[in-house]
Amino acid sequence: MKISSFVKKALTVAAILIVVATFFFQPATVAYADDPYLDSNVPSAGMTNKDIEYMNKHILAWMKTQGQVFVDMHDTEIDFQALIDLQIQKKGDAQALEVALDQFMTDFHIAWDIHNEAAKIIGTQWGFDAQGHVTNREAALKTVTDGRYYLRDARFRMLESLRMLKRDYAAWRYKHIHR
Amino acid sequence: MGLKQIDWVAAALALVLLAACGTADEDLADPLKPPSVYRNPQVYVTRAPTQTVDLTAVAQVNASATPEPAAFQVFTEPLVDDEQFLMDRIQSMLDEAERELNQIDINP
Repeated sequence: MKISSFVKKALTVAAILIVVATFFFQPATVAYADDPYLDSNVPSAGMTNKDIEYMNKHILAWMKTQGQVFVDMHDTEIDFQALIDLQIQKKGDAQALEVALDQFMTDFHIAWDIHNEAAKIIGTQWGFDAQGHVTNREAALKTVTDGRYYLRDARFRMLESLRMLKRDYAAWRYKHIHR
Repeated sequence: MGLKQIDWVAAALALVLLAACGTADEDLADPLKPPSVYRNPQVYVTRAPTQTVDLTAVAQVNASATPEPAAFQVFTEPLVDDEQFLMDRIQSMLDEAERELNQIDINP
């Protein structure tokens, strides 16, 4: 059977249209901003209760370590303020240090609030008994997943603000040495 | 060659052989080679000790011979001032906080 040139053209156009339509109407990818670690893709069906209990223990230890870093940062703030006072006393100006510390403290308090939010979620131990055993699987999964999400967010923000402060502080020290 | 002559030649050869055995000591031929037979070390005492030294005696040092330092100064300034101390401490605390956060396993 011989195919006419018109049919050939129609088929070619239809094929091109299908390819173009596939390109434009493909399903949207996961929003990385909402789920940066792709937790929603982690299969929880194959996870045993023992795994959830292990995760719970891990985020409890994580919360404690991270909380200590936040507490220690208060000491750093005190030292930083003392250095600013000393610079004002000696040279009458410490603007670069003051700006760096203000910016850091703003970011620090946001990170601290997020860390406290994680502590609230983890602290309820929803889905776990007093010994840390799973009593309600869905609730326990939500506790560890949400707790981990907030802990990660607080850690990420804290690291970013620390790096910013270290950069500003290094720049100030360089100027201070080569003044 | 007569029988007597053969005896003389044999005796001469035996003498030569004996002489060779006596002088061809391989230990003596090579002074660097250790002797195959252990020989006691030969100690020669040339003279007896004339005086004994009291090893427990304390030596007397002439104190006046040691020169006194010209001037003794005490360095009273602190090695690190407050400013330097604070700067180092802040740097150390920032580094430690960053290290602690980086060590956390975020994917249990």
